[in-house]
Amino acid sequence: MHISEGILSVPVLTAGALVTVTGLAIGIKRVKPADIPKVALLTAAFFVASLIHVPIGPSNAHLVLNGLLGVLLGWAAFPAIFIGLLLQAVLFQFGGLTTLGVNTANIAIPGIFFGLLARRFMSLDRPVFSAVLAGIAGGLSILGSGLLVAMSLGLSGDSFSLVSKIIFTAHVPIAVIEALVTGFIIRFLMKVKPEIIGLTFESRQPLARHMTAVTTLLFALVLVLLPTRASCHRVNVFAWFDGDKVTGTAYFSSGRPAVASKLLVRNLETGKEFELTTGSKGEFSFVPEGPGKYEIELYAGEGHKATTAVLVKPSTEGTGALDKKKPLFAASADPPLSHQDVAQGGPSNDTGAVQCKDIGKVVDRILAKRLEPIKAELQRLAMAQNRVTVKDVVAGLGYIVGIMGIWAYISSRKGG
Amino acid sequence: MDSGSGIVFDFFAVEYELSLIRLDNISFGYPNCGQVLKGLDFVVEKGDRIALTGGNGAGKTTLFHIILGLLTPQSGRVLLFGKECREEEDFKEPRKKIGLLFQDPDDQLFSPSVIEDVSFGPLNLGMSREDALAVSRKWLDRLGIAHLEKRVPYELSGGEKKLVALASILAMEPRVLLLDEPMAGLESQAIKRFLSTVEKGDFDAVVIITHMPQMLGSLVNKKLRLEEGKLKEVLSPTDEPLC
Amino acid sequence: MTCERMAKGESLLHLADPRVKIIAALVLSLELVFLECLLALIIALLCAILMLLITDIDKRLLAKRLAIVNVFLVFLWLVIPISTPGDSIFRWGPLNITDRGVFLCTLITVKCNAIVMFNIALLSTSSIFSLAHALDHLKVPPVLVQLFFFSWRYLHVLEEEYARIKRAALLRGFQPGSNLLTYKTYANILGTLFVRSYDRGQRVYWAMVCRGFNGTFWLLSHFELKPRDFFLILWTLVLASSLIFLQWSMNCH
Repeated sequence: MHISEGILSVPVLTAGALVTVTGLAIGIKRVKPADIPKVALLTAAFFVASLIHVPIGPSNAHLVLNGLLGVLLGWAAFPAIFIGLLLQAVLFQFGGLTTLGVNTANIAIPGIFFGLLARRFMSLDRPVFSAVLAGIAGGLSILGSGLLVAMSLGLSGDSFSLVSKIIFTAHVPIAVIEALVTGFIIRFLMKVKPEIIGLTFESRQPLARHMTAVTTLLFALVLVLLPTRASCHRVNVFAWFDGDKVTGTAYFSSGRPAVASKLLVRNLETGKEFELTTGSKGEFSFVPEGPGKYEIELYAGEGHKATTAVLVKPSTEGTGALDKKKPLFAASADPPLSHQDVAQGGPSNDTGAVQCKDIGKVVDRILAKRLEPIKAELQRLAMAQNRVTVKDVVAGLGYIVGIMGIWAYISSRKGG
Repeated sequence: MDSGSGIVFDFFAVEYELSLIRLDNISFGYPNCGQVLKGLDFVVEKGDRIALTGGNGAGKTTLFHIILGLLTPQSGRVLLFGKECREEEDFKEPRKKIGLLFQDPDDQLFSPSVIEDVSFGPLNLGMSREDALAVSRKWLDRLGIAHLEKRVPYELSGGEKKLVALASILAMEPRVLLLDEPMAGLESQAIKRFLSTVEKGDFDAVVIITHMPQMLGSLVNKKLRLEEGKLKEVLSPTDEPLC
Repeated sequence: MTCERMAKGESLLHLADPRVKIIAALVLSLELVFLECLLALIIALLCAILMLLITDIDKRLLAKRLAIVNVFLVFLWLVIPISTPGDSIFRWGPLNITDRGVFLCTLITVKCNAIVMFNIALLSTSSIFSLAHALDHLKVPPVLVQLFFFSWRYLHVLEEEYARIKRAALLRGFQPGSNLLTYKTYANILGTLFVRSYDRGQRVYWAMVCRGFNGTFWLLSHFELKPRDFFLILWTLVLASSLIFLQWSMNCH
């Protein structure tokens, strides 16, 4: 259920910590001094419940009951789960300090979200309906947690994509058990001790709505914060046309070249396709069969795919692969340029020197012209990197909310 | 408001002042469980040493909790030291003078060490750290458990816990003691020490809930039985229940 | 039964100030999360082992705990080497084990074990009460500290209560299995546990109110930094900075 130390990436851990600090600030505010022993005792009871292994098919699973916690404690479930995990970290070394934030958020947020949602529609007059509702909330909470755990792993690196799929799948049967147990517990509590449900409701409806709203915000926060990762291992492919051939490199975003990866090149005009393989430095090159747009697709295994397009310009632009027969000077010496260059050279008796100078200038010109598309490509890339996307804006907002959460936490400490 | 004010105002107050605790026509019920107390009257005067008996679920513990304002009765009045108590605020002062020993010592002991638990009450009364420690040590010593001072309460045996819980009440030096099953789980040596401590202590009144009133011997001067939501005085040994 | 089995001891680390230990554990764990250099991580692991040796915790208990922590890592070892792109170092049918996958798993395993060992050496050698006390000194919100403290205080009481309820159920012929009756029975056992916990929480509060509780939790003993604590601070700083230096000088990613 919860993730060990040393696996998740720093951005994921940071996002989890920020969300948890916010959740704790809200949760702590809702625990009145008179409720402290009750909330603490229920926390301890949930800790005991989490040590119970319930048979499930040939195996067994330990209960989490985060949906039930959400129903019983509302926002106070945040500190309750945090403390449960802290105790586990110190006593059993399950999880640890750096993962405390992510793990708390992953378990608490779905629990509080579905718990409060269910409680909004539960009523003492309809015990069976309420129990079913709570059961569904219990099951969905586990699925939600499974999803968040899978996301935390998946977003920590592409290597974890298969691991996260397996982990999410493993949560499905547990969700069924949790749904059943949660439903039965709520039925029992409604019969025996109804006042235990709704420890933190002061006024029922508006509060529930408010809580649901804030949980949604928090839920969104996690979804937004998690993608802001740095150490991802995406692949990139970069190619340019240098007049004779199309050259390029393929590399992972960490800077490591994509060695011996398959490339599929497609001429978008003719629809012709052919395959290539990258070399030991991730490099590749090919001679285009004619002018037009070429699409290059890189497959670096495990579904890592990147695409780029190269425009091969026709011969009039300058020397190209198609103008090989033409002498170099003929193609490059565009009339106004060369004349100017020679003229600028000024009157001189040393024709040999003038020629040398001229040739040098001409070569410079040609190089500058040929490098132009590369420059443009580089510029385009730089712009793409600096472009502020909607995602960045929302993620930035997320961090601001997180920092506000820390502030709220500190102020609650002063107030409490 | 001190007790003297009663004399100034009216003669009813004078009458009430004599009673340390007075419950008038108290009715109380738990949801789903029906009425536990039905029009109960209860008076504790100075010098009373009362043994309170009654079957399981008769409402003995509930009665104690109503006296201290932990539970609010559906009807009736609670008067402590001559003053009627209705709100949570009203009970704050009397609680400092009435010591309640809970049935389960685990409910009472929460601190990381015995001495911290015993001095919790005195510190809440506003004593200095040194005074609180001194009074705590005095009562631990009288109960014969001074050697437990540094121990962790939850690691103690059931009997030791009970004595520590008692010490934590006595350290507040209350005028009235309400003891809920103080002898359950104690071995005979501890019971003797407990009885002598209560006997020697200079308390205005003591009420003890027990299933074994005969164990209290000469300590009690009044025996009451809670039955069908009301208190009845037990006058002869034949009235005593078989427990 | 849950207990602080590692907290009992007389070693240097057992006796160190819990405030210093909490901060040292935080600094070292956070730093290790950032480290990507295998050499630096291996040195950190060796230092963690050294600290564990100082604590003198029962080796069998230690091995058991570390084995549980490594169960998840075994799962990662089964999946990640074949699901990570990179150069193939071993191929068997459709399974392709890559160098990058193996490297990543090694990195994670060393990192995870180093962090866990630091946590055992620094946190598990303190009693929960002293940790709660230290958290209070470290300005953690009081409500959180009190919840932490009370949860731990009553954990044993509830565990015993649970054991009693379950024993009673077993004595009446309850046989756990994968069926609806089992889940219902567990639900009723837990429901009973929750009701009792709730009631007990109420009584605990009442007992505190009866003893004049007005929101203050009193602390009788205070921590005092001793020479050994400064030694621990120095050790943490030297270790932390040399690991950073190593990563930087090796220039590894």
